[in-house]
Amino acid sequence: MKREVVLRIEDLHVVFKVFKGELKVVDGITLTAHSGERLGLVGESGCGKTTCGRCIVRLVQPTSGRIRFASKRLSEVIDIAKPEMEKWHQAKREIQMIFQTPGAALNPVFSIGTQFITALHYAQSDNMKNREIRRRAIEALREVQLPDPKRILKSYPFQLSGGMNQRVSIAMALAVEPELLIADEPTTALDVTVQNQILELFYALVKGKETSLIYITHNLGVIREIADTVYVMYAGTIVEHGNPREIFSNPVHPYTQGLMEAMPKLAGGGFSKGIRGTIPSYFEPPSGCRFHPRCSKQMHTCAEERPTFIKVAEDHEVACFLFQEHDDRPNPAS
Amino acid sequence: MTDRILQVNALKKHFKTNQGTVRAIDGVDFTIDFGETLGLVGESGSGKTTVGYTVIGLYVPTAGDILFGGQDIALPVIRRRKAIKKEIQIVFQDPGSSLNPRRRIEEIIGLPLRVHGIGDHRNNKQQVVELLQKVELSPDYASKAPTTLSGGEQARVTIARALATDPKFIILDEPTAALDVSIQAKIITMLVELQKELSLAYLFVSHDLSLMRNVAGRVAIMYLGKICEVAHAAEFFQNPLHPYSQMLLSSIPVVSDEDEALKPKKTRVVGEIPSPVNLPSGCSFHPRCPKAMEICSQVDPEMAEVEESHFVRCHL
Repeated sequence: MKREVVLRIEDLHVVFKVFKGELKVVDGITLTAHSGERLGLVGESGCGKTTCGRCIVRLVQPTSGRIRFASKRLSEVIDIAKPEMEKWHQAKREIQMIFQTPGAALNPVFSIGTQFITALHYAQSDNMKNREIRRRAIEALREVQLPDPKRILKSYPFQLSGGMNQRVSIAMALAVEPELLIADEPTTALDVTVQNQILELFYALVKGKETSLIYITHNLGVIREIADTVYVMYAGTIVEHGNPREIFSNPVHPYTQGLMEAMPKLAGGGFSKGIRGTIPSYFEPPSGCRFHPRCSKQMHTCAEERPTFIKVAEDHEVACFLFQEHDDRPNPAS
Repeated sequence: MTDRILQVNALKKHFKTNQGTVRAIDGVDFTIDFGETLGLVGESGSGKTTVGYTVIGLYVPTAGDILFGGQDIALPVIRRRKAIKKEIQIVFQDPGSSLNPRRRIEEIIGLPLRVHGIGDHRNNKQQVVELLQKVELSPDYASKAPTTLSGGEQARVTIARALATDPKFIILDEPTAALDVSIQAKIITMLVELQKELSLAYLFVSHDLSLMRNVAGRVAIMYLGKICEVAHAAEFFQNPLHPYSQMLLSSIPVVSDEDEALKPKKTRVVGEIPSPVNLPSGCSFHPRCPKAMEICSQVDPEMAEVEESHFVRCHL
């Protein structure tokens, strides 16, 4: 079944200019999200996954590249990456984002109800009456399985637990029925049992609708539970993507392999020593494949060229020279 | 002479607040043998960190005994004997905020050496370098400031500080909670090697069960200030008995089919951890328990040994 493409990011670059120089945080990311797809973006802290998500909602202005958003309601393809955009005002309600810390995303001095109604008010193109908006808010809160929505509308964020606050922000994002939902580590601050509930909620809410989900996290296990497609990121680049079950049972990129080995297993069996070295500096990222200084299988080619994606199995592509024609000589720098 | 380094009996710690008494620890018993790792696992607000703080003496227990090598140490930290304080060390949760940003690394690691009068103060620098080597950091870290280090390096410094007094027992309060998995793996491997080398006993406080599977000899599951299950790690993960343990285990997102098979059957997770101010009557887990019976809301169950050294606090 061929699904419609909702979002296509092409060769996205983000460079932050700071006092000490230029931080090349996102370096050529290409990904595609289809309608109704649950897409997972996974990587360690500082790999640029959040920056990537923020580009899609225009909180970060990309340096180059295209972000094509094919909205059904707008019936035309728009490029989010352009600096001036007249269409953004209409398009932004179709893309909603849920942030990492639910407590910080909600304003502590306004009640949930005030914030909820303001959000809905701005998202509606037609003039909806306040009473109607309130009814929609209550409905949305009920949908995320919050008990007693009327009381929650009256309360303030600090009166609710972390899990409840996160449900509120999910309800706010979904109340406007967006075509694309970006969730940036929504369960990282929560306990496993609450995380489990939130994940089940996401699963149920996205499944029934045509909403696409981009789920950003560092937790491989969460990806396996929720995503249809996973993109593994390292230092601003995508190293491997495809079906999560396929990738996790058969990781081929040395970085993904190292990450999998570093995960503590329920079955026991101890640990690997992790991946040697640390994430490189973004001021002067390594040439060629950004992972090569830490890679145990690095070769001559790795420092010189950027690998392209090669299909290794059905629904599984990897950017690594091990699977392409390469110069077998060991890297003289190592 | 027993082989127990630490024995905790009926430990209670209550905090009085305006809203009422918070029963953070409400009757906890456990023991730790020499050179053993006990994993203390629970959700946030279950009281696991409070247990660690009470053992080290940051909190004075409301009731109960803490026996360290046979001596009662349930005293405020200033009344404890220096020789005992030297034997117990702690690694705090957030390495960034537990290192003084105004001090250099050598001052931070050198302080416990001076306090306990270990070695000559002229050799102080040499000892700091040796401690840094133990945690796989190069000697030039001695002159650095904590804020210039990465999270993993900061974690290593806090471990080096704990090792400075050559303790027998270290409380690890989520030392890797803020770190990425690849760095966590390095730190944990190092901790396990240090344990073998120096025959340390660990009280490893964590919320990560799959991590515990790989480091702990025994695990204790805490819920609302009480331990609800204690067992050897291998036994516990094959046969978790308490409904809360089963709920916790089934909630862990895993990466492989092999791990998936080990999880108990999906139990529906309901509700969140209640406030420790108004504890539910009877068994504190009964409002969330899928197998709750009438007796659960009335009588608090006793700890029972179901199989050999596998204790469960449940009416089932």
